[in-house]
Order: sequence, then C-alpha cells, then structure tokens
Amino acid sequence: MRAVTALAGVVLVVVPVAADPRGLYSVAVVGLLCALVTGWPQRGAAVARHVAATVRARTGIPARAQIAPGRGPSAVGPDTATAVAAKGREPGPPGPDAAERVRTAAGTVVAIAVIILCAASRLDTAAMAGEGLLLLGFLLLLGRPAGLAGGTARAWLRLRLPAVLGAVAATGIVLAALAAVPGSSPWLALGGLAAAAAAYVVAAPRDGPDGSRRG
Amino acid sequence: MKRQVSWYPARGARRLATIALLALAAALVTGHAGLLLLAAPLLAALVAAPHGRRPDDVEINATASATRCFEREEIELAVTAAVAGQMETISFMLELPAEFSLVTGSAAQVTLECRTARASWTVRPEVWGRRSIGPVHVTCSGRGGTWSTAVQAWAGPIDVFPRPPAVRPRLVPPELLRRIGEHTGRAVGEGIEFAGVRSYLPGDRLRDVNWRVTSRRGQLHVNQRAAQRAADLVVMIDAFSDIGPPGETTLDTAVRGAAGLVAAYLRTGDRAGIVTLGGMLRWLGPAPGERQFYRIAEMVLGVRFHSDVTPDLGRIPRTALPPGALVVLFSPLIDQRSLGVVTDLRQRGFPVVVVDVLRAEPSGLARSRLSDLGLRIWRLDREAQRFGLESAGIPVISWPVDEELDAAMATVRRVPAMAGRP
Repeated sequence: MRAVTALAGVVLVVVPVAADPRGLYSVAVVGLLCALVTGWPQRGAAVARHVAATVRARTGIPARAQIAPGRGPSAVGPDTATAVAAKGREPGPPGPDAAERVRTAAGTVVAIAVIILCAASRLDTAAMAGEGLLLLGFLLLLGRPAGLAGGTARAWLRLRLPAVLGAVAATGIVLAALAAVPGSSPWLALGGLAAAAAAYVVAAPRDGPDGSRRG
Repeated sequence: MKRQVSWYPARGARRLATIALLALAAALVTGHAGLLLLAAPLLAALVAAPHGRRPDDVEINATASATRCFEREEIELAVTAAVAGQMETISFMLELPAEFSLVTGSAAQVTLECRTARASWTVRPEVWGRRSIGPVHVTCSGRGGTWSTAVQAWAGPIDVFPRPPAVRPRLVPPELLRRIGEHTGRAVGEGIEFAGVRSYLPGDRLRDVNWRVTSRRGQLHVNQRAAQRAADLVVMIDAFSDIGPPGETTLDTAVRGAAGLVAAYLRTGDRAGIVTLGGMLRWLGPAPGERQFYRIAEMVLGVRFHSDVTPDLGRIPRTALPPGALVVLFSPLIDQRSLGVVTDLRQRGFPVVVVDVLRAEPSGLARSRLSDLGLRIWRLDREAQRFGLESAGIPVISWPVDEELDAAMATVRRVPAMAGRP
C-alpha cells in the first residue's frame, strides 16, 4: 500500500506539470521527492536525521539528547571522562513513530504542492476533477493506521467507501455547476457548494448523544 | 485501568480539512473556479463519513510476563484496550526505549471494527536497570475515522539484573575464614590437598598412613591434608564515572563483571559483599547463599541514578569490609577518589585487585595536529597509574572487549599478601 500511495503522489504532481510545462519546477521537484518519501518513510527519516546530524556537526548546535540534564555520575567526571564519553553518541536508526511522522508530513507537503501546481496550470475541468478525487485517495491512504497489512488493509479500505462515494457525488455536483454557468464567479460557485454542503449536513441522518439515530 | 479520555478530530480528518481549506482559499485568491474540484471531494468525504458514539473512558491494561529478569531474557508484553462503543480502529504503537529490543510482533498493530483489542510483543532487555517498557500509544478511532483519542500505557517497572559472565573463583585471599569452603588453606585440616607428613598419633585413621615413609623410617607416619576453607569477597564498583557507548559503558561492564564474580564465589560457598563508590556510599556486608546474589543485584540497580552526595570514602564500615576479605575493584581508572580508596585499603592490609573496565580510548580530533601527541600522553599517564598501583601491591587486570573475564583474571595467579592485618 505504501507503493500505491507514493505512485498516487507522483501522478498528482506530474499531471498538472505535464498539462502546463511552463514553470514551478521547483515546487514539482519538492512534491515528487515528498511523494517518494511517503512510500519509503524509513529512508526519508534516516536521510532527515543524517542531514540534521551533518548540520549540527557543521554548526556546533548540540542535539536534544546531548543537552539533556545529567544522566548519572558522568556529570561529575573529570575532563578525561568527557573526552572518552564523546564516543558512541552516533544517532540510532529512526523508530516507527518517527517514520510515521515523516510520512504524514511529506504527504501534506505533496498535497500543498499539488494545489499550487493546479492553481498555476491550465488543467481542464475533467482533469481537475480527476486530480481532486486522486488527491482524496492519496490523503485517505496517507491517513491509514500504521501496521495495516493483507486482509486488514482490505477491510479498512472497505470502511472508506462511504467517504469516497460522497466525494464522487460532490465532484459531480460541482462539475455540473461549473458546466451550467460557464465563466461564473468562483464566489458564486463557492456559495452554491456551501449551500449544498449545508443542506446535506442538515438532511443526513446521524447519531444522537445517546447513540440513537436521528434524521 | 479506566481512563477518562477526550476526543479530538483525527489526524487524517484534520489533514483533509486543512487541504480542503487551502484549495478553497487558492480558488478565491486566484479566481480559478476549477480549484473547487480539489476541495469538494475532501469536504464531502468528511461530511459523508459516519459519526459514531464517543465513550468517556477507555480501559487500558498493560502487563509484562515478569517483573524481574536477567539481561537478554525475553519478556512478553501485552496491552489490552476496551471501549464502551464500537470503534473503527484500535491501534497500538510500541515505542521501545533504547535499552530494549523487539523480538517478535510488529511495533504497530491494528484491530478493526471492535470494542476490545489486544496487542502483544516479545521484547528483550539489553541493559540492566530498573525500567518500564513503553510507552505504548493506544489510539482509538471512532466510526468513520473522523474522531480519535489517544492514551499511553507503560508496563513495569521491571528489574533487569545484569547477566553474570562465566567466571571461576580463581583469586584466593591469603587469609581464609574458619568456615568450610572450597579453597585450599594453609592450615591443616580435613581437605583433599596434600599438606605434609607427620608421625602417627593415636586416633589417626589407618587410611591416612603413608606406607612409603613408614617403611623408610620404621615408624608409622600419616599424611596431613590442607583444610578447605571459605573466603570473603568484597566487590567494589567505581561509579564516579560512566563513559562509553550506551549499553557498553564502563559502569555496565563493571556491574556485569561484579555480578559474575559474586555469583562464582557464592556458588562455591564463599561469602560475598559489595561496596559502590559514587554518590551516596552504599554497601552490603558479605554473606553466603544465592539469596545474597539477588540482594546484591537489587542494590546494584540503584548505582546508575544520579546523586549529588559527596561520599565519605574514609568511613567504609567494618561490617562491609571484614578483616582479610579479598577486595576486587571494577574501575575505569579515571577518577582518583576510587584509586585513593583501594590504595588506602592495601595499606591497611587488605588483599586488593583492580579490574580495568575502560575499553575505549579517547577519539582524537580530526583537525587537531596535537591529538596524536595528546593520546600518547594519555596512554603514558595510564601506564604510570597502573605501575603505581602494582608497585603498591595491587595487581591491575585489563578486561578487553574480546576477552572473557575468566581469561582476564587468569593472568593473576595469587594475590600478594602483606604483613600487618587490618
């Protein structure tokens, strides 16, 4: 599933650039790199730590662990002890939580890059609708719980079905609105969309505070 | 254990909302109506997701299969979470401290569509000490995955005892106790080692008659045997400095070596005690038996804690250092205070042996032309220090990384005796 997420991120970035190859290559490159990191977060975290360690070594800024309060008798040891203690302070491998944070942060950067690229490009409406749905899929995959595998992953994907169906419906509504009033003001479109969303929220059934359903 | 929880928008839901708002803002700023097609699916997904009940509390239980173990023994860790309502996912993320390693089980485990969930791992403590396992981040996501709550759980604390290396009780103090043990003493007794020949006296056993001497002298002679006596061992740990890579610091090495030595001597019926130098002076008088090993191991667990107390090293109580006890100091030979203690003990007549646990040299600075010279001076300084100790009758044993403690201690055949008893 990690590879699928990375592939979705790459497609999201490549489509607007391919449609309008005039510029914003720096944003595209950042987006592509972050899309790859969402697929292989361990390597991304390792690279980030390596870069941070290099910067610290060049600038002399101590790491958080090195400026932590004294952890035992070494704090009162002589100078020789300090000199020898410098050995073995290499950063360890990134933990699963660090990789997860790197993955989600990279995914957010990809999404922001896609918005910027789409705003600058001349994608037609249908392609933009595709981008929107793909962006939703990418973000849903990005938000999957760590540790999903095999059958559990498929079951989790099935649970996302209502959200995807709602998204497809909303895309259809917006597409219809844009087609009906070509060249209309985005304010008008936004107002229509807000009205549709408000109507949906009011009409849709949901659980009450005591667990009962009300419409 | 039930815990009150607060529910927050899930991280994924917050991300969807943020990106949707950014797309909307971009649409407004640029006047590009097509950008609404980026925002609409995200907002619709948020609205369409089902919203379930959010209970006020979550019951979390974290248990470990053992509260005491030795280094590198495996421990089962289990965490269960129970929620009053149906959850879409209950996920567990184990964040192990550096002193533990994960043997089996994925660090992240997820259960879908449930009210209760359980995750288990097998972990292995790599370094001695009193530690808790965790935290385990338990995240419960309600239906639709839009709301979530997170709690942390720890298991323990667990007393991880140092794993004693295999050592034989080779070092024997010149003066042994009157208790029966396994060391060959200088006194005549009922042991198995030959000690001498004397004339027969009424009451001697016939099996002790030395027939060769008897036939040569024409008078009955019997063999004498050396007494088998027990010894007193007092291990000292120099905790004034703790240096080296985590898990292999000088204090780790010293504690493991001390545990090995104590276990070896207790196994042969000797008495063993301990004195820790560094912070508050702590000691345990020599006593026999396996129980004493665990008492010593538990006391050692407190060595690592930082203390600002300056110990009064001139007042090591007599019960901690009985007369004639063999004193073995595990030290990196860096802090002069511990060296002063052993020199003083030697002058008071105690047989003393020092085990050097410093296994690394200071790394030279790459840009400094004088680093090689500094390193050579440092080596010479240590050589002089060792020579000074050996001149005072204190053998110094090096314990390199690639050598067993037993082999390292084999280099000292006998502990020098000294006239004058404490």
